[in-house]
Amino acid sequence: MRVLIIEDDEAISEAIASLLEDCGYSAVRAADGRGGLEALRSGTKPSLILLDMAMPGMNGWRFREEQMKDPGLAEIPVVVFTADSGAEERARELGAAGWLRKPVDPLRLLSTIEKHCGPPPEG
Amino acid sequence: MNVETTASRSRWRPRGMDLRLAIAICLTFGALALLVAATWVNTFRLLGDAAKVDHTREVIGELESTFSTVKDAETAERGFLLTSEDAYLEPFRLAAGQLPRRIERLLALTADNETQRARVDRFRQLASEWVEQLGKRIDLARAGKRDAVLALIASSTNRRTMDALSGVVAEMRAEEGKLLAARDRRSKDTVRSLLTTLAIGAVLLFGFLFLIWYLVRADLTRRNRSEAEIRAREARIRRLLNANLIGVLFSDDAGVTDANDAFISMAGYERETWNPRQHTLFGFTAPEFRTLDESCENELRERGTCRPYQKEILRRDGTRVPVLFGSTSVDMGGGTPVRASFVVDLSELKRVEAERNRLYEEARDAVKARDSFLSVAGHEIRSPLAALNLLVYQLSRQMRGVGNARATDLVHRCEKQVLRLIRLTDELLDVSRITAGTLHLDPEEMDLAQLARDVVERFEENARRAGCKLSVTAGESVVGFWDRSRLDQVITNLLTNAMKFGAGQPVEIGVCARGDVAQFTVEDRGIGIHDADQRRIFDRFERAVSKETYAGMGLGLWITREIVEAHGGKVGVESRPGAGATFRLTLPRGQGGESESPHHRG
Repeated sequence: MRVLIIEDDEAISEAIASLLEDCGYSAVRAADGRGGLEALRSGTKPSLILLDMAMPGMNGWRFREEQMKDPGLAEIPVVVFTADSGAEERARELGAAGWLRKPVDPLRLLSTIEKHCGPPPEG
Repeated sequence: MNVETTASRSRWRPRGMDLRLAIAICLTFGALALLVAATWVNTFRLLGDAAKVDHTREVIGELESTFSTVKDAETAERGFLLTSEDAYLEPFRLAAGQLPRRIERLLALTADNETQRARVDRFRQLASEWVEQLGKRIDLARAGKRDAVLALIASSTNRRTMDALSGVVAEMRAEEGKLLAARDRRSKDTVRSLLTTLAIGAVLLFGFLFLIWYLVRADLTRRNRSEAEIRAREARIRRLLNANLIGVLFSDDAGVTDANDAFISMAGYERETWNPRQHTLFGFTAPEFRTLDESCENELRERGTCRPYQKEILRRDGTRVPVLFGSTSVDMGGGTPVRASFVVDLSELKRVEAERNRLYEEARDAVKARDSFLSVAGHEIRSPLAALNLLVYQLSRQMRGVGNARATDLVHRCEKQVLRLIRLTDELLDVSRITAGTLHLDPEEMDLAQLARDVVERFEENARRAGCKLSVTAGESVVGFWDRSRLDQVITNLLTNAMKFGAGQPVEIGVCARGDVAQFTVEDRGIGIHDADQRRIFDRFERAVSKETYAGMGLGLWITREIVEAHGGKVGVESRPGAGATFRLTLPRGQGGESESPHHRG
């Protein structure tokens, strides 16, 4: 039940991680695409990746490209997480499992996580 | 003033002279000539007549003298007969001797008159008979035959001759008297006719002279008037030139002939050192404008005038002046064409134009900066908001287990304010997207009726608090191809407004399909909108109510309109103040959205 959060804004990534942990999920955070790839390759594989698109360093698109190149990582579902108004389109372009608009609605966030990772161990 | 153009006319009368005046002068000369001729003729006739009268008088005088010579001879003969003194014979001989000469003279005098001449002949005959008879009697008396003398005197022959002589003289006298009378009459007629001619001539002359005087006066008045006009016109032109509002140049084929002070100072010269003959009309032009000058010159040749154009002229010191230049040929009557050109200094105009452009660019940049600031600020504010939202939600989850009702309520209110902040930030970002033309639509097949019901359901708690009863009148489903989240936003905006301005009153929502379009209405019974405001409320930052009474940035309806129009639809309002308002959307149902109506805003 692990979720990888790739998000450059520390306040957001921290708030999401804190909420997810509060709900019983485990959360790993990375500040850009490169950090995300490192986290994927070093630790336990997550059940879901929450991916911010606009980031300094390696952005969401480049991360997705790298992820797809790696057969061991390509299967992990990605939920696109963006401030863009065309979030849905972005998600389609990247073959993502879903999308979330910033500023994210906590209920939608939780239902999306639940959809991909199953219900949290403690309700 | 008639200006003579034909040579034939100017040959017989001086250039510029009025035709009527010329005719009047000719008539006057004619009348004068006639008068002189008439006087001449009459005077000569008068002189001739006078000579003839003299001649007649001479004839009469000669006749009387001759006749008295005859009588003198008779008187001398009678004296001799009575006294027999020889002293009487001398006058007789003298008279007898004079007689033929006198008669010859009479003949000569009457040579022009046959009748008189015949009478003179007869007189001579009778006179010589008479003298012969006298001589015969003197001879008889000398011989002492007194009886024979007396018999001769008493005889009828003697008497008859004398009577005949007297008769001839009387006839001649009468004839000459008649002639004299006739000539006298003729002279009088001549004098009368001369006087009449003189009188008529004088009247005519005076008439013509008066006419000439009148015409000259009229002509002078006209001349003075037109001269005054010309002077006034010249003064106007001179004032224009001297006002130095625009530069003026005069030139001919050889070059510049004159320029006003405005041009001279524009070209960087001074009046004292300026020599127009050193310059040509196009000699001031900066090199890259020569082609414009050439087309101007062509226009001048073809049409006599060239349309004003902009160019730069080089001043004496090499600096440039932007000018407006125009030129036209002026007919000065001479052979070579004279051109008048005007040159307007555009420096100030250009400076103002540059200043205006600068201000315009500044304003445009400011607007751009504002829009980009809106976008950046929106995005920047959103990140902490997103984090705050998640944290507050987490806090509310934590509070649930604690059971502190007061704290739970406070957290709940925090959550609501965060959501409100998020909505406002979204509005700002929408504004910058719409302004930049990047409002993005994700159309999908969806049911508008269902969406309306969903939104109303979401608003139930708010409606209860606002005291509004929400009701939806909608068909089973109204399906179309739209951006769900954007239409959600539109309906949310309209419902929020309806409950804000129609608090405590029912709000009715209607959705129906009408052929190719879907119609959506939100009807409230609130404060309503004035006619004047109905169009304005859909504009950016516009509000129909004071911001003190009702909160809001005045963006909701503008965004609503932009979203509806991006879908190819229309939004309108029907309202009366105090009687509520009905907002009506019409949305095309087909594969609408962006592809059908590209939506861009600068």
